[in-house]
Amino acid sequence: MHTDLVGQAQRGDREAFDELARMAGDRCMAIAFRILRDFDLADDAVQAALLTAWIEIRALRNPERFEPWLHRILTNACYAEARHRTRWTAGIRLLSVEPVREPDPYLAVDDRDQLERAFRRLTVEQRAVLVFHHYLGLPVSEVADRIGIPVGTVKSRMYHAKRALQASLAADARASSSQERMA
Amino acid sequence: MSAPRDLDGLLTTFLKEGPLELPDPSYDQVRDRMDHTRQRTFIGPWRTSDMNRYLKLGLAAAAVVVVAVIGYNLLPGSAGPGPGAGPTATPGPSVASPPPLTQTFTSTVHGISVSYPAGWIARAATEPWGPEGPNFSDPFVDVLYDPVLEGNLHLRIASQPIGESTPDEWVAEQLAGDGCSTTEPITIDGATGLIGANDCNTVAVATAGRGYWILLHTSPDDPSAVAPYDRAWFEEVLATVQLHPEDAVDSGASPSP
Repeated sequence: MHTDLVGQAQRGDREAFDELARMAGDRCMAIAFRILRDFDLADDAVQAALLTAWIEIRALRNPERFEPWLHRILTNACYAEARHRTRWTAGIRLLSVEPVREPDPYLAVDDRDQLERAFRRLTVEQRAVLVFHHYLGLPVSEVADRIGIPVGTVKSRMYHAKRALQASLAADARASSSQERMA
Repeated sequence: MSAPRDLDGLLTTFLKEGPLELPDPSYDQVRDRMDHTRQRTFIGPWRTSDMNRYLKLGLAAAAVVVVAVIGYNLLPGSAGPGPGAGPTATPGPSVASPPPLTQTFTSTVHGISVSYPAGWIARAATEPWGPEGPNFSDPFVDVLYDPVLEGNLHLRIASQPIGESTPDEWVAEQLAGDGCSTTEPITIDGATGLIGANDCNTVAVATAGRGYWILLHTSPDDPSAVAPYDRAWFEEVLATVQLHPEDAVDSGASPSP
């Protein structure tokens, strides 16, 4: 199991860490993209998180908790990317063909666009809480643990995020209906 | 979208869409960087046999600090900023200006003392710093926080032996770890180090083989509430810092009385 790989990585085994990274990388990318809403920024955040994990892994106390520990590092990396837009790599990026979850047929194009706009208006901290709760399906206490903030702060961020989303969606709906009337 | 319908359901559906895989070249780039990056060496209490004894002492010390702080705040008139100042019975964030730095916190684990705002709460570290953060909820970080904004407005403090790193290496690692891409030199109580530039309120300094890390976290969730806690305010706090590396507690040692 991956706890063996964690132990080997803690002893400096690069192959073991590489295997761990490949086991966790896809999920990290999915999380980072959903927080940052930008493929390149998410890619950078995941790379930064994996490198930090390699540097710090010797002090991971409980190998069973590798994934939550990595997700906490990833969340901080997402915050850093969002704030500083730093790039770990310069130059030309290789065009990649990344698998994308197909659009849900039950979510109309208008809904999707409006949600995208509204979601992007949230702070990166608010987005992180929503992603861990609604995408990973984690309970609030586990979200708090993954992100490293108190449960009360998770609840508060979630509350404010949803209020902001509702306000944005309502504003969009009003704008749409007034445009329809003018047409 | 005529009106926000089932927002939770919409969010869940919306968040399902998007990339699900990290491209192969990204793994290769991580691998390349790993080849040029040293793993950090840690001497954590979890690798020692007297962890339980240390934890008990650390928790006892933390309990004393918590009781003292709570007691102080419950004393009549003690919630105010001190002699000569007007009564401020309700602790909380001030939009106009931050409360004065009338309280002093001395860390029994990290070997540091610092002044912090009246009305704020101190949560002392109970064990030496490991690398899992240091985040707000970690037991190895001293947290001084606003009682209302909590995780959205606080100072985090931690320290550790710099081990095999040079002071410059250790300091640079901390700033990089917090995403501070540009930095400026700083001196804290005679110890030199770096502070993040722009809005990156992280400081790392090293002295006597020990590295100190201090972070001011102001969440953008409530910009008006945290606005007064700017760089100038952070520097005001940093000017009160006193470093006592000889009093810090590391693996296998007991907290100072």
